[in-house]
Amino acid sequence: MAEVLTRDGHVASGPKRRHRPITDRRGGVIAIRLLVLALFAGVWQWLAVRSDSLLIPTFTETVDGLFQLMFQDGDLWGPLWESNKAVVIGFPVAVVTAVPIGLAMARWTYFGRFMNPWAILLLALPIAPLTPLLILGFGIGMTSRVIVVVLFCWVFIALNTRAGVRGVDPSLIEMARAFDANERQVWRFILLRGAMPGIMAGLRIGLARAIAGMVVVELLMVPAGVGGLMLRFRGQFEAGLVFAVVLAVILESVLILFAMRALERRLVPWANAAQV
Amino acid sequence: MQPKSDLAPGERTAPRSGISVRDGSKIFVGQDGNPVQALDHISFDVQDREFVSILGPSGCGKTTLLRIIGGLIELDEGEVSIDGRPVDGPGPDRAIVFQSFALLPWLDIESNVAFGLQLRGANRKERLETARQFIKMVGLEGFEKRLPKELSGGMQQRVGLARALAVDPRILLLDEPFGALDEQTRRILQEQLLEIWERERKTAVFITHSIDEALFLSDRIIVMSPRPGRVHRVIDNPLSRPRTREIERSSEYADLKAGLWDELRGMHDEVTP
Repeated sequence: MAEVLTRDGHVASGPKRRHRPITDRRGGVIAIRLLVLALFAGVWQWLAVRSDSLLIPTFTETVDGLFQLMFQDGDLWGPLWESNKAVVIGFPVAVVTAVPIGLAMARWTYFGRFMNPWAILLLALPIAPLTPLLILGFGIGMTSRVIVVVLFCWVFIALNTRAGVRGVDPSLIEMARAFDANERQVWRFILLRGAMPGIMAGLRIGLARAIAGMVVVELLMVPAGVGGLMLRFRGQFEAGLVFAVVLAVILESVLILFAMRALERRLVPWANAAQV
Repeated sequence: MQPKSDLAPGERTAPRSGISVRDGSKIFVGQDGNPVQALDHISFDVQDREFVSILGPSGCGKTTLLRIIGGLIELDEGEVSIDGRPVDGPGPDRAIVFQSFALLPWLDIESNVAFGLQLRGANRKERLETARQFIKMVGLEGFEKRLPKELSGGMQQRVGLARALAVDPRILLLDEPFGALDEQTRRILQEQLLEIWERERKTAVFITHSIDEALFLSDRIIVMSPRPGRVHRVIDNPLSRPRTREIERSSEYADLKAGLWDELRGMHDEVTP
């Protein structure tokens, strides 16, 4: 053991240990997350066992169900892909329309003000009451599903795009103008680059919303895909399988979110990415 | 030493090549809706290759004035011209160094320095080559591929200076370029700026509220007073060139500094009710 002479003349013995907070250590954050998850699973399991209800599956039942659906009979994959078709079509449609409009809202204040009430409307709109209208107008099928997906994510993409542009440091724009940049150059070299973090945040949040929308429409209107699967299992009182499907969708969202964040880190390494 | 050549507002002198401001006025609308006179009939000249400081407290309009010379803002009255031609927007003959550095965080250092050239349409190879020369000139060789956030404030401002020099402007406009830096870094950068200026001999308009800075760097000092922004006095700086830090120890320097401080203090007294 090392002996250390301290400043006031005492001899302290024992190895000096450096204390770093657990969050700084590599794997520390992951360890905490796993701990929280384990805690959550534990509480869930305990409550479910206690309630002893047909409708509340335990954590273990849910995980069993998930394994069954994923690996044993593989019943998950078909419906999952079917559901995702709506996102594969709907999300790009939303992006291609929402980003330019978000840019326009940033560029022309009056247009932005004009669009504001519609944006708020779309944000607040509950889909459930709309379903009869959608069925009337577009029937029960892919069209309605795509429309709901678009409705779910459009506003987030547009508003985050606008915020991204507005958030660009004005001194950078001034600098570009000082070097005699014309408007096209200001957009190309400053605004679009500077807005990228905001736009990517919008895409990230939008995609999560799109996935949520894909499930909601299947529960309320068009019983296809995973929504349809959930409804079927509910009708069979297979609570574990219902929750298993929910878990599968959650896992898909989480994986996609992680993938998008990794993409963001590659594309905009200079920005500090948000935590969501 | 007595301050010479007070330029009375509005007085016409023979136009010289360089910058000329005549009867310039600028009014802004304040937040409360009331008009604020940022500049009130400003007149002065800057000769070609001269280093002029604009010295004054906050609110004297010096930043506005710089932006007007740079072509970013327009005068409401009066005119500003360069070599006899009125200023009409930014141009290749001027470049600004900003107090906040204004570096593009997504570009590395050499791309940042090359930015002005990129806006002009220079091709990649040429502009990076030019950029590297100026990176060397400001002493940042080796940092070409770093991002701005990896550099200290002083280094970032050297990048800003390199960027401005890279477009080979005739006139360098510096807006309190060292204001965001600590005292020691400031002094080092002042010396570096002086060294570069003595070689390149651009016309320089340097905004500051530091008397020491103005005395160390400039040929003439334009003292401005606030609310409304006016030229208070124009003072020739008699300290000999080339300047070294030794000059700060001379009694001549002390007299000049005291004189300038008296001028500036007086302005603050006016402001206090």
